[in-house]
Amino acid sequence: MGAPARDIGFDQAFLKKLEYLHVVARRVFAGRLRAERRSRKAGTGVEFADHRDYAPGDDLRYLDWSVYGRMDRLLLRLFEEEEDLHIYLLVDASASMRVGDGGGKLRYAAQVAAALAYVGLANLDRVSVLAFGDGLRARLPAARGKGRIFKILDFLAGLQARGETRLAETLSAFVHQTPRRGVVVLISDCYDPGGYEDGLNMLRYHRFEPSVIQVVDAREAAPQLRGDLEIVDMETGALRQVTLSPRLCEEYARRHRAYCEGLQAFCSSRGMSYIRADTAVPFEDLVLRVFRMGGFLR
Amino acid sequence: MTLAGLPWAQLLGLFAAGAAALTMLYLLRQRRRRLEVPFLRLWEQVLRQSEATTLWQRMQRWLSLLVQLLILSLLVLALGDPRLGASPRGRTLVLLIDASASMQAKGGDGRSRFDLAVEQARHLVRHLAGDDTAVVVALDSQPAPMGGLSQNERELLQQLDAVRVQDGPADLLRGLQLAQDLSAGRPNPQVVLFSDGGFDEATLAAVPAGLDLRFQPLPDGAARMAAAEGNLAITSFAVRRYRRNRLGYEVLVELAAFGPSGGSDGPSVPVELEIRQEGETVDLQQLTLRPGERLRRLYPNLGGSGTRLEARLRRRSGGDLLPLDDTAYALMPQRRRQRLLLVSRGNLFLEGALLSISAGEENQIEIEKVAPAAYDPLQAARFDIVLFDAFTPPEPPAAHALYLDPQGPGSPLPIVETVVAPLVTDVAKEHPVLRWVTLKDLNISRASVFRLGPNDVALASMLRRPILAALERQQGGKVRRAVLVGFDIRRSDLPLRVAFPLLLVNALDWLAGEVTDEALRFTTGQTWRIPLADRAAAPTGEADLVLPDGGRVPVPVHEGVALYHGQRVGFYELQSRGQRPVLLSANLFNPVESTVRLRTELAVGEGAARRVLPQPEMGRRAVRRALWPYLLLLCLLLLFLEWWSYQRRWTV
Repeated sequence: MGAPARDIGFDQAFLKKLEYLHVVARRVFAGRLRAERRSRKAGTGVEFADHRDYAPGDDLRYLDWSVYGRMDRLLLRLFEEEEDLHIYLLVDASASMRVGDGGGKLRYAAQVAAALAYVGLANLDRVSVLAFGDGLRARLPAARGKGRIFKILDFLAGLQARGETRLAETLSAFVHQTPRRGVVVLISDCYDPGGYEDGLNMLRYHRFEPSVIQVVDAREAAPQLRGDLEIVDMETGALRQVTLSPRLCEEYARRHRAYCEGLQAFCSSRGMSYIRADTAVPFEDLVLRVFRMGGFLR
Repeated sequence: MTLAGLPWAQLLGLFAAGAAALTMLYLLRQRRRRLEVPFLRLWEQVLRQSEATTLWQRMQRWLSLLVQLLILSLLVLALGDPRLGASPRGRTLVLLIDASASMQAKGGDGRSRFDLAVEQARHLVRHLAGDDTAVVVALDSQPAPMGGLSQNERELLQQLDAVRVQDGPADLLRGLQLAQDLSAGRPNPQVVLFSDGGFDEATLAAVPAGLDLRFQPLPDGAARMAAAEGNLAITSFAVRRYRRNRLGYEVLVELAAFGPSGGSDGPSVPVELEIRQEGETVDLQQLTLRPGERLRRLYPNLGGSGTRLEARLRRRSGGDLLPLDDTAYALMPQRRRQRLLLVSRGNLFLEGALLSISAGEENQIEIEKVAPAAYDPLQAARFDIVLFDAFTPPEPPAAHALYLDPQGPGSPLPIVETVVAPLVTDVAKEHPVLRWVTLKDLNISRASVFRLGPNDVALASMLRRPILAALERQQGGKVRRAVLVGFDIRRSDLPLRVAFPLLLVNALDWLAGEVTDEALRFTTGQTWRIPLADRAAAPTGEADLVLPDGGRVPVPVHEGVALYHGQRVGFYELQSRGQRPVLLSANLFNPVESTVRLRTELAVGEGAARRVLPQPEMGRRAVRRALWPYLLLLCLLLLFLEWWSYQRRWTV
């Protein structure tokens, strides 16, 4: 692993934690082996799935001659094809992810993404990592096998928090650039002035299976600020003069809570997994929680 | 209210400058701190609700400024040191701290009576009322205030720290007089005496009535230490050389044992008495002293070359209550060999007396005799003293001289008349030449009357007409002394008296510049007159006195005598430029101090006016007249309030 990866905390201890998570994940999903994700398409599988009408050009080897004998119809036998699962880890690298100590939320998001990627790679799934902020910024092509984890770590370590969060634009670009469907894990604070709804719906409409991990720092959830301040939006640079009092901070915390709960309700109502990740909670605990919920990495 | 510190004009200037600076800081403080937030949209939702409270928040900021200005004004006012007017209840206290020798008596805990007295005085000072004024006076043999009258507790404590216990007695009456002078014209004067009460009855009886005098006895601990074993003391220690054998000397020591309460109660005490000469033990005796007993010991025929003698008294078991008076100091009189030229036609009386003086193993006087016709002034200049018997040279010799019946113009003092059968009516008894000499009923057939100069001394006179005189003259840069006897001794009955050889010895000693034994023995608590070795060579000016502890103090010299108020026992050395150093010794030798009496109650006055002194009252800690501590306290309180409100975000 290179020096940048170590800077963000991807050192030997981190790798040990990833291995630990992998072992735990295997226990949770004991009995499930590789390539268990199936698609209903004619393929080289062994388990019969369905019939369809023959069309010119189909492989004659898959014609069901017994049905033709009984019913005088040319039907093609379909099998459940065993195919690799595609996992897309979308990491928010916008400016608002700077909040927090030692690299802020972005570091935390990178750690979570690395952990999920490692477990996915270990399951021989195809894992692709993408960073966004001011649109889709960088992409690591899909890869398989544990050996690729170092590339992912280097990619994550190289991320810098900058730019605005524009989920609708970003996810729209993603779905159009990504032909293979799969699981999408959005790791972000979801602070989009334009709203998160359109973006997430875009994923749903294009048959991805979206999951949301909202990274939240305690400092932004319940700020302890007092006095005369000039607050600046990290992403847009918009200014606002304010005199903060405890009462005002309490009101802000209440509104923040309501915002997060709104996101959670949106995801739940649309069958999307949602997890709120407090940066104070160790990332490995969070990853285990993700496994237990079962929405990811089946 | 008055200001004891800065005047109003300066205070206002300071306040204006401070207020301007504060306001500027507040204006600077209005510049807001910039803070980045991740999602401004949420904040805007919140802020839309809080717009209504902004005005109140601005007012809160101004409230903070007002508090700061109030703190500033209090600080500036404190610099002015405002004071309330004196209340009629305020006392003027003079704290007399007994610093006499008996206050050095120590108890088992190692603390002396003086330490205890100062501690009590400190307690009183710390409990003075706010409008009380006080001053500390060190009560020793020369009472003196340690500072000015003050209300400042710290200053008074410093005055107390400056008091030093001395080795001498305390002059209570002078101390009281000083206290009266210090508190004269001031409200409610009161004198508080911190002492063991070790004063003699005559002094206590002479304490003036009408003085509000309070007595603070020492605490019980001191009483216990006094009740232990009483005190041993050397009350006299003297040494003198023999006239005939000046190498030998004898020593007189007087010891005294004072009972626990100053009386004669208690068992006998076995003691050791050691005589040391220049640090070497000369004699050691085992003695027993009964309480109240005075014991004299004479050590005759002692010899040795040392100058400094010490007597040390020790209990054979245990320590003494007052170690100060267990050691006494004395100096051996100096001896010098003298060469005498006798110019005489023959005088058996005179020669017999000189023979008796110069007899002995170690003659200090070498005598050479010449007839008047063979007198040679050059020869005379080689002698220390020239004795002219019924012969007067035309010029005085270049040496000290003793003239017996001088006549004619060569007489050092002009002869104004001759009286027949004079009677000696006036004698200068204090002069060294006449020490132990009695001239009463002296029969003289005829005597010359001298006319004295301004600095000449009439040793004996008849109705103010001097017939015996002493004089000192500057001659060739040296002092020449002369003694003139205005009659022929053979025509008087003086040679038949004991006074004659004494007069002769004294005159020779004085001419040789020897000081008497007593002249260099002093007791503490008195002003010493210390004669310089060559008095005429240093009539006025200054000399250095080396103290027993090695320190040096300049002392004034007047007419060849240095003046010093000594309060420490031990050996001293007077050093003056061009002079031989003069050694002297000082001792306590004060039975009143050595009694180390401890009174818990002190009665003063006599007869109907006799009264027991009450104890002093502690002040009620009222509001002090100096207001600055309260102003600073208020400042601190306001600062705390401001800090607290800031932390609670009330004034931001």
